[in-house]
Amino acid sequence: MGEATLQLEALTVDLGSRRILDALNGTMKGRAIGLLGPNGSGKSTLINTLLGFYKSRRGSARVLGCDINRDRERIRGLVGYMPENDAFISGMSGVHFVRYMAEISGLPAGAALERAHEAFYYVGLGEVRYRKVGEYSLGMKQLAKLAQALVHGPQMLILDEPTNGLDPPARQRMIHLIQEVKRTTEMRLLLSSHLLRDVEETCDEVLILKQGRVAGICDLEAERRANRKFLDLETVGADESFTHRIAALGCECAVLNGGRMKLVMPDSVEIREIYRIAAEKSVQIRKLNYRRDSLEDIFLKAMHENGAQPNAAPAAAAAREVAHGSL
Amino acid sequence: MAVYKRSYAAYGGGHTPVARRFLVPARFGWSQVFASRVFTASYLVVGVVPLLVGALLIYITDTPAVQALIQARGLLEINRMWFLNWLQVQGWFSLLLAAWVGPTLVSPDLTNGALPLFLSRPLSRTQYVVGKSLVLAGLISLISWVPALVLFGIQASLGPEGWAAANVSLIPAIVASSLLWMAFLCALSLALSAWVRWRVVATGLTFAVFFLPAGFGTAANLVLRTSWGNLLNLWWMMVVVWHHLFGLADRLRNLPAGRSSEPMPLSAAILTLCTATGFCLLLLNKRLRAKEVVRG
Repeated sequence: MGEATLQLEALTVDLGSRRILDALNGTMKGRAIGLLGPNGSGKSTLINTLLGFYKSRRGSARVLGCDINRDRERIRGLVGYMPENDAFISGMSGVHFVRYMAEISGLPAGAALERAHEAFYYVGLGEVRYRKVGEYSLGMKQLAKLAQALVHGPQMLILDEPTNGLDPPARQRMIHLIQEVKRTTEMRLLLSSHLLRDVEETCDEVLILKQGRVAGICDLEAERRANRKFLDLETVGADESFTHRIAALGCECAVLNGGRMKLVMPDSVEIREIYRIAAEKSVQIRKLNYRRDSLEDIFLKAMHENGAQPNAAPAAAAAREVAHGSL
Repeated sequence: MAVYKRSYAAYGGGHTPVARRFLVPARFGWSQVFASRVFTASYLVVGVVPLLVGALLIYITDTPAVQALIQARGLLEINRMWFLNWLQVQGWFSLLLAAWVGPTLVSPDLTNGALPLFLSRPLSRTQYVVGKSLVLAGLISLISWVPALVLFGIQASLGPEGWAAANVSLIPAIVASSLLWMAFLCALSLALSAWVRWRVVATGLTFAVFFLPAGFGTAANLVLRTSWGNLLNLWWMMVVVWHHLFGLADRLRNLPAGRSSEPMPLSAAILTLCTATGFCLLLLNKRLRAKEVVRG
């Protein structure tokens, strides 16, 4: 995986007289990139610009190494797009609709039909593939949209709010499918959502947008690895010798009141070694917590770091809304 | 891979050429219109019956024995005028077709937001429009210039010696007349289909575009004692162009709409039709966008 999945080079987009995206910069190499931000932060506009629906005012972006201004057609051949809103032809059966989209993507008629059936089975709509798409439930329509985005075997899947309007079981099914796509294929993902949990469960890199600007870029995988280093302990009977033994492992150790300890562990140390030393020293570990630096923390931090701007209060409110609405 | 396998495999096969991708919407459009038996039956009637009637008339005209049998000697002459009249009849049938099929072309893709799915793939807006136009153009072709050329061939083989050579200029006239009419009807149908969601309304508007302005034009002619009101009569403008293409411009004076005064100049007719077609394409261009931009 040499080339960056997404590269933003001072990308600026105006719609009418309004600036929607303002000099976005950043390089993301992860396989699954999450676009996160409150409503109206520019997530969908960024996707539409990457697809060539909107023209950039200044700057550019690269999708899988292709410039959005020069290689528009090539990008469209490489990606599968699942829009946020309804997108179907109501009079067509599901499989006919997906076959149609596959043929537009360039698959020969026979292959398109075969893969349309496969795509429907893959997303779990095999039994209803001959029903008209207009008669599908909302969850089924979302899955049909995913099927049409997958059918031609794209190198990158762009999902705009894929869980929008879904009830919890349907949302879970959609998330599982996205995770499965990520796990079992070579495809890269760009997922836009205002729901932190969706992004946290599916992505390994996050681009946080706020009022059309980059509020933060975060490598979730690195953060997850880093999270393992921070431990909160509550102990009974811990004395200096216990602390020395822990420190001898290479851990940084801070002892607080009431038997509470905070540890920063090096990568080489496993938690079971803490338990082993505790057993040797007859120390009871009443509570052990990873100090999780969750996506919510990262998101709120990104929002507040930009909070010095005039619109900080609404941004913070939006951040709270996003964070608490989903977690 | 068997369809019951619930696993994903990347596609490793070939792709169709991008330049031919516009044929996909056309093919799916045809399969959709012919899914209706009523349409298929009606289409066969307007396509086959005029062809058979035309062929029969040519046969009677070119076979003295049959003329004698039915005592119709000299009743009909197969000439430029005959072909122009036949094409005008088919022109009206083409309008009916456009009113029937036109509203189903773009509207279903816009109603439920499917257009971004087309345009996020390697298919340009122009290819999309050409593909959708081909649905109607193909249907109109099969009832207009294609059978007209067949009739020309029948007449060439059954008619007097030298008829084909003397009338060879009919071939480009037939093709050009039909293509012009087809282009206008396609632009009009797509524009109406893009802007009007309800099929009945779009069908009604297709007819209204021809009859309402023509009515106003006639009223203007009567009130202002002029013939320039005919500029609003799009069908008449097309008839003017057709007469010139068939080399029958002189006969325009004998037709009802041309009686009042001097016949409409060809340039005015062409300009009117180009303006109307351009306006339709402008409407289409405004509507056919993957995402609408809200100004403000």
